[in-house]
Amino acid sequence: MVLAQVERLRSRASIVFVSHRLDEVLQVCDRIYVMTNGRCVAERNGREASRDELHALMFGQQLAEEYRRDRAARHPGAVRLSVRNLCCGASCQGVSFDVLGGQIVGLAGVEGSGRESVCRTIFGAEEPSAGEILIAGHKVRLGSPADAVALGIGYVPAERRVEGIVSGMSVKENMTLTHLHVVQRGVVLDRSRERRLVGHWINQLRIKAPSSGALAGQLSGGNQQKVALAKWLIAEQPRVLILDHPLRGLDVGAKAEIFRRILELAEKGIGVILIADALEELIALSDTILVMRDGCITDCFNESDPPPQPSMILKHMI
Amino acid sequence: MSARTISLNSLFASAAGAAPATVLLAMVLGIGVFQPSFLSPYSLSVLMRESSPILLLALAQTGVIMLGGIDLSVAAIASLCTILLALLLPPLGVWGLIAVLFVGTAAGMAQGYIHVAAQIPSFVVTLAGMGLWSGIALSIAHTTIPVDQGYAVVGWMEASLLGVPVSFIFGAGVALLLWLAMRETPFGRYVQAIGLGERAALLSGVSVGTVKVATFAVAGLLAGITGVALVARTYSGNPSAGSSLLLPSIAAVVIGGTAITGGVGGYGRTVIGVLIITVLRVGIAIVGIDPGYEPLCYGLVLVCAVALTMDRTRLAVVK
Repeated sequence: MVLAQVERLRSRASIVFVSHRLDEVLQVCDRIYVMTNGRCVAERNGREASRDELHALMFGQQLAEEYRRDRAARHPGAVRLSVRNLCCGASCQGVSFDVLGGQIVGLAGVEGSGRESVCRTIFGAEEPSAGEILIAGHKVRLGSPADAVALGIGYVPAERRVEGIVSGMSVKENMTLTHLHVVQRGVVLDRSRERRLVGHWINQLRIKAPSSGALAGQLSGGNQQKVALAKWLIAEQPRVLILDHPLRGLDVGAKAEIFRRILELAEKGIGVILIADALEELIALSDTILVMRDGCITDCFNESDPPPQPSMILKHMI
Repeated sequence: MSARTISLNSLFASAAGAAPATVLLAMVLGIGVFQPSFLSPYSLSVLMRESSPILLLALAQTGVIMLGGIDLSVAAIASLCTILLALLLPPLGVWGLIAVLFVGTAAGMAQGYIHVAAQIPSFVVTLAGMGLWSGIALSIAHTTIPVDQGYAVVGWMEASLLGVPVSFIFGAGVALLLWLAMRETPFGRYVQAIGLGERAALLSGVSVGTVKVATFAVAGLLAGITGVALVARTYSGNPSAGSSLLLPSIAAVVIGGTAITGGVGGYGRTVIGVLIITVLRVGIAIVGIDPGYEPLCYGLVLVCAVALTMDRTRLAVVK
């Protein structure tokens, strides 16, 4: 339909066609520019380019073999979270999956494939239009994130500076915001207990901050991400932790460190749901990868299968 | 570049912290030089007496502004409460007082609930509330209702303790209590978090709706207490008793250094702001400016204070 219009107009106008649907791109375009991470990485002639070549250009050739984890060492536990036939408007339709304790479930898909929507719904930030969410086998109704937190679900959002941390509050205040009740004595806050607890986790996660009273907004991206992670860990361990683009915008060193933290969390028995843009990272971290397109799960790679190649995942994403 | 922004910000922050107190001191000394009797114990006690309704109303406003909202209805709730108190004190005595405070709290809570449940900006809900509460007050009584019986229940507020008006001691005590609550309780922490970053607070599992409704309820309660102070002052209830206090109460909060965008500031700063506004008010009279220009001064103070304290980095668009 749109493509027909494009064909009709091309005799009269020049057209810039922006899409991640490679079939369409190959069908209509004379010249193709491939962009990743804000840079133009390649220019190809539309008639000569192939689908596989574009895939490879978009997501980088090198597989993150160094990230490959030792899968045999871990034993997934009981079912922590089940999603059954979850629908939320048009953005996700009939999504079902389980998350086990100690398992990392990766959600692959392009922006708008519904994976963010699934995560926000599980965290109570969006209202599901149909379907069920079960935590440890019990059906739950999540009216707000506060409900989800009370049930042991944590969420590290992609928009770190606006949603992950309160930039204008101190590192300490950010870290205890979710679980203030653990540093409460009577009706007031127990500041020395708060300082001790926060100090422990600053050491544990090696957060680099001038002091625990420094504003969280002044830390580097990696340290902000650690603060956003820490607030889910300082009290009782969450059952399920949702990580939305935890490595986005971090430098290599910070990436490697957060990467190790995520593996540690899973080793402690937390069920992790992970969204990442880089497929190599997703493959390296996840036990199970669910591929989403247009609000539906189009494929699933289990931990018993051999690790998938990015191109195998891409085929179902786009 | 970011380092410079940060140091500038912290410079502004420390300046904003100390500036209001400096302004207050300069004003008091300035007027004192101009008119030495201004610093006499009697004149200072008049000043304190004068400031206590504004103080109570500004305290009501502070919590809501800390959330990043505004409550335009506090003065109307105070007026409504004066009418109800004047009607209920003679037959019910102290129970009338309790009932009136309950009404104030319920009015604030209802506005908070509508703001949260219907996702309507607080200024719209409370602007509508302002119309509603003054409308109810006017429909109950068109004019002043004198309190002929049971005045003693509220009259203690007009007494003096060692030359200091009890109403001011009461207001200062309430301010101290709220200041402690904001600093030392989880609730206060939540209010600051919502004011500084509501999305992040929500996604950290803070019950944003509950905190907001509770804060508006406290604002309603304090507006009701303001109404009580006004009845004690005037021996009567009036459907517009509090209406001239709305502008100075908001001006007091922002001149004290609380950002209109929320999160930064607090009750301690509001006390300073109220004193500045009151000294300004008395100063206008001493210098010999027509009191009719008072609202003009509040308006100027409000705009200048907001211009200095607003955190524009947190707003994508200034509407």
